[in-house]
Amino acid sequence: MSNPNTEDFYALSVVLTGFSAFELYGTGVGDEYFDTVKHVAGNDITNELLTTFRAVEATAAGNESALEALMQSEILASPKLGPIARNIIKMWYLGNWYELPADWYAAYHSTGNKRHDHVISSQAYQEGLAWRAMETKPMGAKWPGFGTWGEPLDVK
Amino acid sequence: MLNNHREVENNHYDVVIVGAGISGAILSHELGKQGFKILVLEAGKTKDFNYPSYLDYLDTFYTALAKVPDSPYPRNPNAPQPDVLDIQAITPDKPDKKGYFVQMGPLPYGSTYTRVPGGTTMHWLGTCLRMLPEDFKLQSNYGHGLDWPISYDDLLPYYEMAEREIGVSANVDEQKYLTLKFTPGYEYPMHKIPQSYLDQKLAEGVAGMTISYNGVEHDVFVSSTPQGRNSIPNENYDGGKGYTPVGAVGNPDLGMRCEGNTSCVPICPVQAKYNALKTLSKALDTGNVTLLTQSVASEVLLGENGLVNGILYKAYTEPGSPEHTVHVARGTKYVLAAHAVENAKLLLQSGITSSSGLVGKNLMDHPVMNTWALMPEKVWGYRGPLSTSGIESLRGGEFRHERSAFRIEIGNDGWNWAAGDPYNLVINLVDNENQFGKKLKDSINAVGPRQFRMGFLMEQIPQETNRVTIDPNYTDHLGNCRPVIHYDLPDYVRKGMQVATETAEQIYARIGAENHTSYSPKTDATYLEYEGQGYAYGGAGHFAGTHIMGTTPDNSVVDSYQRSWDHDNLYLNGCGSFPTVGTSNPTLTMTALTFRTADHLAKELKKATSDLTITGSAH
Amino acid sequence: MTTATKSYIKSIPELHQYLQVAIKLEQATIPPYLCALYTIKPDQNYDASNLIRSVVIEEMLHMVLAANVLNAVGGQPFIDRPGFVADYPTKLPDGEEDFEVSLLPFSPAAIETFLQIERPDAPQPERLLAAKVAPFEHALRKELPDLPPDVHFFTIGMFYEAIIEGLETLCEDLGESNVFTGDPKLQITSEYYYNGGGYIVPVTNLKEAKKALKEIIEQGEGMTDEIDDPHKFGSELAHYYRFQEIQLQRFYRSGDLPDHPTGATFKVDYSQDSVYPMIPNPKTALYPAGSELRQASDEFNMLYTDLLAELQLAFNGEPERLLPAVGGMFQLKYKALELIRNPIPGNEKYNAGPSFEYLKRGN
Repeated sequence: MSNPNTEDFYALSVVLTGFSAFELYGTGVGDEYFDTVKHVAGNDITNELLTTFRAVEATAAGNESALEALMQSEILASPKLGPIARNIIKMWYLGNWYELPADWYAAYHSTGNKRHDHVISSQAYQEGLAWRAMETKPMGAKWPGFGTWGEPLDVK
Repeated sequence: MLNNHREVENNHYDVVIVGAGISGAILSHELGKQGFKILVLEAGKTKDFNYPSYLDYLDTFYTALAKVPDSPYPRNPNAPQPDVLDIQAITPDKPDKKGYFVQMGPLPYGSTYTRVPGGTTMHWLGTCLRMLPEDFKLQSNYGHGLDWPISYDDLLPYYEMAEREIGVSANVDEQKYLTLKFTPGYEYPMHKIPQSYLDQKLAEGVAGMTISYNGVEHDVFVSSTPQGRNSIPNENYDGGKGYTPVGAVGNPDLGMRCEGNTSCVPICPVQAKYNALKTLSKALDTGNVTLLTQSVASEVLLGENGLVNGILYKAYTEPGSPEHTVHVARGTKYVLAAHAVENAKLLLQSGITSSSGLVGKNLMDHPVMNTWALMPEKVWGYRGPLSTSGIESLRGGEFRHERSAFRIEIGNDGWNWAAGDPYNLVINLVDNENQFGKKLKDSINAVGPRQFRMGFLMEQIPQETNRVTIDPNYTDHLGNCRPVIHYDLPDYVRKGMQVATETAEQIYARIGAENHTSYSPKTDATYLEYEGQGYAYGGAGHFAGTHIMGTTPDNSVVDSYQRSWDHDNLYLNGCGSFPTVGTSNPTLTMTALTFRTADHLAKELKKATSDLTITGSAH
Repeated sequence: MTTATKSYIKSIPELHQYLQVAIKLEQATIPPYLCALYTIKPDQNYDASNLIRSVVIEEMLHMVLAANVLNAVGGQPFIDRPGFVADYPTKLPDGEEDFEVSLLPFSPAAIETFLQIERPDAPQPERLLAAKVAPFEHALRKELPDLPPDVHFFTIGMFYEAIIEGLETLCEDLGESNVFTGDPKLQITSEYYYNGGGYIVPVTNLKEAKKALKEIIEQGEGMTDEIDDPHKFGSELAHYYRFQEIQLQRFYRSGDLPDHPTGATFKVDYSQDSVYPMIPNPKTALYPAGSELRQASDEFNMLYTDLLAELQLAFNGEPERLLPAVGGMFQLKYKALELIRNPIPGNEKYNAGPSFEYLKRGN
């Protein structure tokens, strides 16, 4: 089977996170996330996830609510693909990997690499999208400069 | 940094200091610049005083899964430290041995400290409130604890020295609430740190508000918090001489102003926040101060005359290995400035319990009862220093006869401390609510920018039953004792929490905030009840009271100069000397006491030298 | 061919023109340095990026110092207007004509350009001969129409020396108090400028003006026979030699002769392992209309234009505007990083980058 495709991963990530491809590439850490997924899930399951996504995307044919429903039923509700997809979201939002349940390994990937809960990297922490969704910056990084906190953010 | 133990053993120092935190740094700097020879023994790992070395701490913080106060400062089995992650509810009669502390309960002690050069100022918040004049007389005024042997006025000049050394930013006019007073014309070194947008909205919201305690109306208003972080220098400081902010150690261009990183605890990335490395590096520059790291003081050696004649210390080469060598450091005077708990532990381990028997007893903290809510509009928290304002107007009053006073810290950290967000928020939405994509992003956005916290720092009164003890069954890798902690909160504090909760509810109602505060025995290790209601608290890191100061050897361990009543050349420096803690974050007051002790020590050392000269000439 | 040593500044309006060019010159160096700095991947090329950062911080200081001098002599700094910012690739506005400055990723070519920008005084004769003079093309001549056609400034230092000469001559001719007529309240002081790089000098007289201008010359060029105490606080060595350290991958130490550092060596990696492949001289127009990249590039330039507007106010009587300006600078940095990390769709080779283009305000 071919190597999972990076562009597919970013396309899936756009739908999973609600952030644009520009914003995702702009973090500079997407490749690390993709590597982590491939490392844990292996190429076969990763390809299955991406192929399923591309199929869902084609079926939805640009209809957003259809895409949402299909993502839910075909990917997030899948006991095999759902945990990976949710972990992809959490990586993008928090920079962390959360260990997959033992059941998942037993059912789908008994030889898979187990990764415990961990921060993907120093950079990943700093690029967590949760901070952006909250209209702020990560605690301890990307400093905004003296006194900026005294101003509201919507006036400009 | 090369540790030459042989040379140290052959030397006789004017002062041997245990601990390279803020107290040890200030003492060694103040005395070193007067020409006295000082040795500082530091238990923590050797660390270069340059910025790349500091960045290692920052990277450790970034990659730590739980960004708790000690997360940047790696665990060191040879100089272990308490960790928030070890705190759990205590089963009755079953010591909790999970962390460094052996917690006997019934409640867990919630605070932590850091055993590295620079000490706990590496992760302190930087709040620099003075104690209220009435705080020094809690017994006379309200019938609790022990009066301080000194007054606010005695400490006033030393507060000013402390504010200079730490580099405090505040506008003096905003600090004259309740009975607080300042030297006429006094200015802080730097202008106040700009208050957050949240502070401003809260201040507007509570404008004109009063709250009734026992029929007495108390004003509720927001004050900017004096803090040890760099702001715009005040040109009128020091009679018009002004002040130059001190930047990062080894990179002085950095940190000239607070950059708003919102990670003061556990680590300021630019060192705009004061840490004791700044003073320590000045101390080393005097050429009279020797710093030995990885050197753990393990016994205070007493001579037959009751004077201390040495500090036995264990020097290790690797944090990971218990291998060590044993040495003795000798001097004229000895200062334990190792931390309230470590000071007590070291004394007890040396068999020193004091005439009063109070060593280790009266352990206090400011239990922090967090409350959290959503503002009606976005205020964009998670920006700026972790806290820039507080409600200080409720720190004093007649109610202190019957329950704790408190100050309210307004948190710019959203619900990070209070509820573990954004982590818990995201995980809950993804795992439990099956959200993804734009909906997920919107759900986060709907609450994140409105989140805020009010932390109530409760005054805790001294009780001998709250204490640090030792037990030979519990030791660390070097064979030093682990602190055994007995801790509970009396009804005085619990009633304070009850009133704090009502106060929070009134403030939230007034400003139209949605209160989301909840405490549960399932999730809160510190859960407690009072009159049928549940509360929980976190540690403020304000360990105090393990060697309290007083007026006689019977009612205290040290005198007002922090000198041991029993051992004339031994000083116990730090918050351990506080007989009561009031409601102000204690570092500033401790620093003031340290300057007073430095003055006293310099006089004593000069006296000793001149006595020696007289004796010499008589021969 | 004459080098500009004696005063070509014969009137106050001319002095104002020269100082305005000085501000523009300092500003023009900042985007190229920032592009090199921002294209270095996180945690890579630690020493090189520290060196570049230290230079950038000083260039920002120089811009403020030049504005202080202009304000002191009754001039009015103009920043927020079309034509102030350079269109890269560009020649420097002080008349250095033999090389162009481009926005490049961190690369040997970028460092070579930086060495040209900061080259020390006393140009080599062969370099003079090789100079390709294109006077009619030049921004300087547009702004300084009275500059004699045979006068060229081959280094930034020479340009500043000419301003100092001009100041001295004018003070002699008109009297110092008739030259330094600016409102002292317009001066930027350390109250609002704090980013390091040296001390901000408020300017109210000739002595202070010379001090400010000499600080610029010395930090930039630091002409000495011997390298003196190079890394005291990491920012004492002249810019030229700091860039040379990167080029030679070796630090100077006390006692070294110019061009021959003998201090510690350090690694520099120009490969894509350590550097984002930013397209040379990025332009918004390079990105497809309607694309996210295009929008982001516009957002970047809007932030950039806003920042220039804040600086305009800061230099013209509202020094406290420097605080939001610093905030704006950080915003700009984070947006630039996003652009630099984004591949350009359909372009195999390059990532996007910040274009530093001035946007006309709407309405």
